[in-house]
Amino acid sequence: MSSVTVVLAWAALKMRKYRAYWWYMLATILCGVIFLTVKLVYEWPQKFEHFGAYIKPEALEKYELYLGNKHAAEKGLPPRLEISGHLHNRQALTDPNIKEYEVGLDPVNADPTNPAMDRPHFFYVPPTEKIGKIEKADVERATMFLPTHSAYFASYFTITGLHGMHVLGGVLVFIYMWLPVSKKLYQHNPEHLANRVEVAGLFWHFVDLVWIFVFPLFYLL
Amino acid sequence: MDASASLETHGQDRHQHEGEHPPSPGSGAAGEHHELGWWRKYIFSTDHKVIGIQYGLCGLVFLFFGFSLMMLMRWQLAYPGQALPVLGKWLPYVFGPNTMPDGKMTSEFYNSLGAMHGTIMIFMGVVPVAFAAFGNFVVPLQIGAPDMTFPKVNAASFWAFGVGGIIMLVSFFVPGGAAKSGWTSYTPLAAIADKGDAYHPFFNGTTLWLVGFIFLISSSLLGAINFITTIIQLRAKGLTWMRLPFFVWTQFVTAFLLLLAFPPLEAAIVMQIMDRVAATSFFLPTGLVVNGAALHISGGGSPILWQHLFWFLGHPEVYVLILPAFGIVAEILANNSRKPLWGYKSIVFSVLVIGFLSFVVWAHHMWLTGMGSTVSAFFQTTTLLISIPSVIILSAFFISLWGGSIRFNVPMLFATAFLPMFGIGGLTGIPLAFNSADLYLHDTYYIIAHFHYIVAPGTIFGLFAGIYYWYPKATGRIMNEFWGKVHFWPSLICMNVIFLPMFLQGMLGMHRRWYDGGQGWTLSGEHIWGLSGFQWNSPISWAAWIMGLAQIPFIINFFWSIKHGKKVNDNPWEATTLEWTAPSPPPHGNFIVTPVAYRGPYEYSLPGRERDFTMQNEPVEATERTRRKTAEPVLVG
Repeated sequence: MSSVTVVLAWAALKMRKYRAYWWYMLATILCGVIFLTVKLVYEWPQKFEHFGAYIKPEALEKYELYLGNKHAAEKGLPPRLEISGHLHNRQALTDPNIKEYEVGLDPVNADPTNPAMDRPHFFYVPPTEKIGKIEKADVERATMFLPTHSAYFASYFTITGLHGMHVLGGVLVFIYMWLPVSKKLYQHNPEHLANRVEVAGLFWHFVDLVWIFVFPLFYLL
Repeated sequence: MDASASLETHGQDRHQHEGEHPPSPGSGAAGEHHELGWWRKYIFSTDHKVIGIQYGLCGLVFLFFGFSLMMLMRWQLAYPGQALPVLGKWLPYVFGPNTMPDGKMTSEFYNSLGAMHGTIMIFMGVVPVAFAAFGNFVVPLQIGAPDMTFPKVNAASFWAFGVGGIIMLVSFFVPGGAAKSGWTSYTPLAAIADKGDAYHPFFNGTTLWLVGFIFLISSSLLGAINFITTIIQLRAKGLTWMRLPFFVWTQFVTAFLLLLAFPPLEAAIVMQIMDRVAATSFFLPTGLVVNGAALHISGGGSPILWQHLFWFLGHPEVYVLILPAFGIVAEILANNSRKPLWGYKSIVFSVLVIGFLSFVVWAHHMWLTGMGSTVSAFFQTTTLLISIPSVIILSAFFISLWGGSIRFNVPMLFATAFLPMFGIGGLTGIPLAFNSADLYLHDTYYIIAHFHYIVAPGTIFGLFAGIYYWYPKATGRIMNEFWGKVHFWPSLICMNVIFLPMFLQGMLGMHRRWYDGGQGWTLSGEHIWGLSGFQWNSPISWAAWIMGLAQIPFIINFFWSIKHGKKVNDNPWEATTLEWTAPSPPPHGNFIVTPVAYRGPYEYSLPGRERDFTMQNEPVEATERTRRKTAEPVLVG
């Protein structure tokens, strides 16, 4: 959507309507800021608050209640190795005296045989109230959902982080072009400003195009 | 911002943009010229000549600095465990007490020096001088352009290089010292190095090395885009592709190599930063054990992936280093043999073929990784194929000398020395191209000698030749001939004393990363001229230090000649290409009269002419036209 408004801003400049340009530019900037806010305030912290533990192969049987691997095998699904959810005793991550993790289980681990849990959900489903206890001795590796957690989160944070930095760069450039200095340049040489907006807009389209590939790769698949 | 601001074609903003935007070819040189302040003119300049000189000076300083690191290492190799006289007392004050306690080099510091020698020489020395400095200064002049297409992008490129260079230098002074994992920064070693209580989690040698690299890569990318656009768009009227000086062709191909090869490495470097800072496992395998303890990582990454990504840059990078030197040498050979360059078209196509093939040979750096014989066979074949165009170019250069009336001035000395030196470097590479031979020679001093013959007496001699050759264009004065020869002969002799014995050491089995110069290892025990593999270290080291001294005449000559060199006219070498039609030094906008090219780049000794050179902007006369119909086609270029 911000790709449209930036084109409208450019078109407004071409028609020498500074007022319209100013509003369209503001809309573009706001779109960028909203995107970044969603990412930094909602999406990433949600991941950081989430916990996952990979169970050792020999202990998988023991946690059948949470993993439902018999059900998965019947359905021809790959076995589940990880129990995830909200970690209630966070100090367990660092304190060696605590022997087990208390996890508010994710729906897939709370009710593993439910056919609705066979596929991942697109929209976020919060962890349930059901508490699962996992002994540390049975855990291969356990971390919050940080880049170090798995190859998926490593790629996810790297790519969305880089994309976010490009968005931030674009927003900063747009803000510069929207501030009163632009008015000065506009009065002096409107075509100059229009060309700047055009080039910055091209960059914005590129970032948008990247998102069109990033979104299905990380959010839909 | 820079990209957006400099794309505009209308320079109406007179205070800031006057003259920065190249007028379209034919509209004359920059007309009305607003005088800039000192800072804008010499430091934050957008003029391609100033940026070229800035790149050149910085690059030369880095080259000397990188060489100094090696001179320190040579002491440790020749006299392992002994205190370094005089300097050994002072160096700990510069690099920190743990680097050289009592003047004795620690192995960590040795590794730092080795890694940074490679990085600085290649990415902060040779590339800036060969590509950015000569390319910036000479290419627009040779194609008759008033400036680069994107002057501000050009400045951004230089300043990105500056930031990258500073970060690399700063990394010497953080706790623990600079990066130690070799200039290739192989994982998993590089991902676990410089970690622990003694190191800052971010400001440690290896991480700063990676961050500095991101700036250096961005700088090269900006430069490459600018070069490609400039060469395509801003050639003078009549300067068709086959009339381009060979130097411009080499810069053109080099720019494509940088543009296509660097982004994969940039991505890989971001991934390695993530591995180090955010504990991801892009390049770390499952079950990695360090010092007897399993690492707490998700694993699943591939260390070989890093090598592939690195060498996908690394091999084209080799040609980035050598191609500009080819171009410089070609210009100087034609000029000083007073003959057209032999086989112009075939060497142009050879350069294009090299450019293409250099992207499909990278895995010959990785024979020891066990990629499998099918992959090895493919890369072995392509590696041998790429020697064909290289040999065509070198042969064409040799044939160009045949029957010429050669003038042995200083640029020509360096250019002719380039030919056999590059020849030795190239021919000794052939055993390395074969998987079976390389298994033995890999990571020995043999390979050090091989690639240093290419880049040290090869590329760097080409660069010296270029500096002596274009110095009059930049300053209006010529460098001193006598001191130039005093610079040349010891350098040539020392280069060979340094690198020839290394072939022998390598064949005796000396590994390139040994900290004690092979003293603690049993080599094959053979003696060459009475010296064992280890004992050869000391003549090599002495030659290296003498070569360091031999650069002093050059440094003095270089700065002294700016003010006191002999004044010369605009075309002191009686050359034919367009840069010599501009005043020396060229003013802002370069040309008094916008040049038009009427002929090929190397029309020396044209029959029936008074002078033995015919410049590209001299119109073809009627009498000449009739004669041309019967003349050899090579003269038309």
